[in-house]
Amino acid sequence: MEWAIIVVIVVVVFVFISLTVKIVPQQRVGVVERLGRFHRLLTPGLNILIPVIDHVRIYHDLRIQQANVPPQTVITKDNVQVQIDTIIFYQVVGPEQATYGISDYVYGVRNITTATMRQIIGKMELDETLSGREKISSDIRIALDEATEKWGVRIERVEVIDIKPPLDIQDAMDKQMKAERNKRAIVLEAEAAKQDMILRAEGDKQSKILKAEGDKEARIREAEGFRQAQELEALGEAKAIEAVAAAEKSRIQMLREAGLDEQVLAYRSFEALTEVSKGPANKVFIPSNAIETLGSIGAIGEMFKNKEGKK
Amino acid sequence: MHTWVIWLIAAGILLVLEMMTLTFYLLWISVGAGAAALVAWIAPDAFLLQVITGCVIALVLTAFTKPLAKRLRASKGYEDAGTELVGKQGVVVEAIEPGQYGIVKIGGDTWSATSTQQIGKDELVRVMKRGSSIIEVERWEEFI
Repeated sequence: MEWAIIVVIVVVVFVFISLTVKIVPQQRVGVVERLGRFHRLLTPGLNILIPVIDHVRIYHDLRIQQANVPPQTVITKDNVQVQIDTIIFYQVVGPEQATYGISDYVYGVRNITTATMRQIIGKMELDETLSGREKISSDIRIALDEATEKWGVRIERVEVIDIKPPLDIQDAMDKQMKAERNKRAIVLEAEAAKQDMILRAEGDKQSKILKAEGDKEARIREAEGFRQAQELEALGEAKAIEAVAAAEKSRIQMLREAGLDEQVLAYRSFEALTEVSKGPANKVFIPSNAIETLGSIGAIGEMFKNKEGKK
Repeated sequence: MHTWVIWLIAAGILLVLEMMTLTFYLLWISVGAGAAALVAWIAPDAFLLQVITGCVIALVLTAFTKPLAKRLRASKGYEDAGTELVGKQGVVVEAIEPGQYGIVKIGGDTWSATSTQQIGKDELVRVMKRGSSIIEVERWEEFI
C-alpha cells in the first residue's frame, strides 16, 4: 500500500515538473495556449509554464527552410508544354499566424508557388521563359507575398532550377541555332570576298592613275626640255650669225682701212689661181687677156675710188 | 544496502541524465533525491517521509525557477535579421502605387512593400512597419 502511494507521488511530481520547465532552443518558438486560447509565445531560453492550464500547441522552426516542388508541366503562351523545376526558400516569421492562419503552411507554400508559377509562365512565350528567370522571380514575389502575408510565412525566394522544353522543340531550337550560325558564317565570307574585290580594284585604279600621271609629267618635262633646247640653239645660232656678220664687217672695214687696191686684188687672185691649180686633176689655162680683164676691173675700182674721192 | 545510498545513486543518475539532455527539470528532481538521501541518513526507516521531502524540495525549486528564468531572459541571444527591419533604408526596385504592391530591396533581400504615397523606382525608402511578408515604407527624405 505504502509503495503504491510512493510510486504515484513520484510519477506525478516527475510529470508536473517536466511540464513546468521548458527550455526552447534558439530559432525555435513555441505557441502556448492557456485553456485552449492563444496566450503567448515561448521564446528561446528557460520558460516556466503552469501545468495542465498552459499547453504548448506547436513548435515552429524560424530558420529558412527549403521545399522542393516536383517538376510541373506548364503551358506557355505559345502553347508549348515545358517541365519546370523549382525550389522554394521560405521562413516562418509570424508563428501565431502560421499556427492559426493556415492548417499546413508547407503544403500551402508549395501549392501557391506552383499555381502562381503556372499563371506567370502562361503569360510568357517560350523564349522569354528560358531567358527571363529574373523576371519570373520578381513577378512571383508580389503574387506570393500577397497570399502568404496572412500565413505568417515569408517566401524568401523561388528559384527556377530547370526549364525543360519538350524534346522535339529542343531539337528545333538546336537546328535554329545551327542555321543561325551558318548564316553568319556565310554572310561573313561573302563580305570578306566583297571587300577583297573592292580593295583589289581600288589598288588597280590607283596604280593606273599613278602611272598615267607619271607618263604625263614625263612627257611634259621632255617637251619643255626640247623647247628650251631649241630656243637656246636658235639663240646661239643668231648670236653666231651676228658674230660672223660683225667679224665680216670689221674685216671689210679693216681691209678698207688697210687701203685695198687692184694690185693686192690681182695678187690675191693669182694666189687663188695657184691654189686652184695645185689640185691633182686640175689644169688651169688662163687666157692672157684675163689679166687684162682683171686689170680693167682694177681700172673700174679706180674709177669708183675717184668718184668717192670727189664726193 | 542503506536507503540513503540508494537515494544518492538515484540523485547521481538523474544528474547525469540532466547533463546529457539539458531539460533542466531533472536537475531539480536530482536535488530533491539528494535531500531525500540526507533525510534517509537521519531517519533510515521513514521511507514515505523521505519521498515526500524529496518531492517537496523538487517542487519548491521548480517554483523558484521562474525568477531565474526571468533573469536569464534579460540576457541577449541571437537576433534574427528580419526583426530589425524597421527603420532600415531600402531602395525601390519596382515602383509602389498606392493600393498596389511594389518591390523594395533591403540589404540583399527583396520585399513586397506598400505605401500611402506613390514612390517611383530607385527612390530611397525607410521601413515603417513590418508584417510577415509585406513591409510598409515611406520616403526617406521625410525623416530628415
